[in-house]
Amino acid sequence: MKLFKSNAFKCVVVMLSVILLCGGLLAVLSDLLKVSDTERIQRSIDKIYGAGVTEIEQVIDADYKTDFGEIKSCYKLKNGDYLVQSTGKKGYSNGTVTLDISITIVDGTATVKKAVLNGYTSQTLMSQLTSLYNKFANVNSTTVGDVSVVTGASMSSTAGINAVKTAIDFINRLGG
Amino acid sequence: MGKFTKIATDGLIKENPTLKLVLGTCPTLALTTAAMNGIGMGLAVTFVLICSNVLISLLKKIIPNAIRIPVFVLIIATFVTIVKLALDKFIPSLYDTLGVYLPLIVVNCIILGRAESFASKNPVLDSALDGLFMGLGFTISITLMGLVREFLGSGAVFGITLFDFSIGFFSSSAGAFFTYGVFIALFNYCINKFTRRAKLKKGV
Repeated sequence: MKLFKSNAFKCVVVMLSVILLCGGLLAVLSDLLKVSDTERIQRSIDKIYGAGVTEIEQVIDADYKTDFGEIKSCYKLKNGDYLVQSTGKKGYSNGTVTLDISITIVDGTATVKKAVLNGYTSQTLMSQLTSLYNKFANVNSTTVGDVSVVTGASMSSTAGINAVKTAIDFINRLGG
Repeated sequence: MGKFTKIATDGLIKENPTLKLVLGTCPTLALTTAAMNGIGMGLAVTFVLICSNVLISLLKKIIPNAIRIPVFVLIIATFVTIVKLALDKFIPSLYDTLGVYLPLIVVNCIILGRAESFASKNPVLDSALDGLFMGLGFTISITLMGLVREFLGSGAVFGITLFDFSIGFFSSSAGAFFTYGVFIALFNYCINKFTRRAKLKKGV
C-alpha cells in the first residue's frame, strides 16, 4: 500500500510513538512524585509557624460559601489555632485568590495570626503581593474592613480581603 | 584540540549560552536576584539539556525532518515536567522561588537551539557532553551574576548577610540589565584579550 510507505504515515507513527513514550514516562513519574494534600497542608503550616512547630489535630467540616468567598478546607491544629484555606471572590476579571490563613481565638473572637498565599492554586504573580498579606496580621471581623488595597492590584487585593473575611466569618460561626 | 575538550570549551567559553550567544535571557534577568536561584535554575536547565540531547540524538535517525521541531518540543516539555515534579516533591522552596520560570524552560532557546544544531546531528555521548557543558556554562554565568546582584543588592552571599548595606538598584529589573551588560562586556573583553595573546604567542 502506498499509504504505509508515505512520509505522512511515517510522521504520524513517529509522533504517536514519541507521545506514547513521553506520556508513559510522565504517567509513572507523576504517580511516584505526587505530593499528597496532607503534605501540602503541612507545608502551609510550616510556612506560617516554622518547620516542625505544630501539625494537624483534627479536620473540620468546611462546607461554607458566601457571595464573597468560599472555605476550601479547615483544620484544627495541635497548638489550638485553626488553619483555613479560603478563596476570595471578586478579584481581577472575576478571578479568585486562595489564602492559607492561621486564625486564633482572642477574647472569643476569631483573629488572624498570619495569611500566606496558597501557591498551588494561585497565579504566579500573586506571590509578589506580600505587602497585602502582611496587613492581615491581627485583624478580626471588625478591623478587616480597614485593610487597604495595594495600589495597582486593587481587584486582586479585594479578593484577598474577601478570603480573609470569609475565613474569620467561618471560624466565628464555628463558635471558636 | 580533542573533540571532548572542544565541546567543553565551546559550552563554557567560546559559545557560552548566556554571555556569548545571549540565549536564555528571560531567566537570566529575572532570577539572578540571588545566587542560589541561579544554581537552582542552572541545574534544572542542565538536567533538561542533557536528557533532551541524549533522547534526541538517539531518535535522530527515525524523526522525519517535517516534524522534528514538534518532536523536540515534546521531548523537552517531558523533561521539564519531570524537573517540575521532582522540585515540587523534594525542594518546594526552590520550586516556589523559580515559579513561572520553571515551566518556561520548555521555550528556553538554549535547549531548543542545542537540540536543533547539535543533538540532531551528533552521536549520543557527544550530545550528552554538549548538554552538560552548555548547562554548566549557563549555570556558572547566572550564578556569578546572582552572586554580584545579591551582594550589591542586599549585602548577602547565598542568603547569608555579610554587610548591612543594600543598593536597591541591583535588585531591580534595571539593575539586572545593567549587571548583564557589564558581565557580557567583561567576558568578551577577557576572551578577546586572551585570543589576541594566544595569536601573538603563535606569531600569527
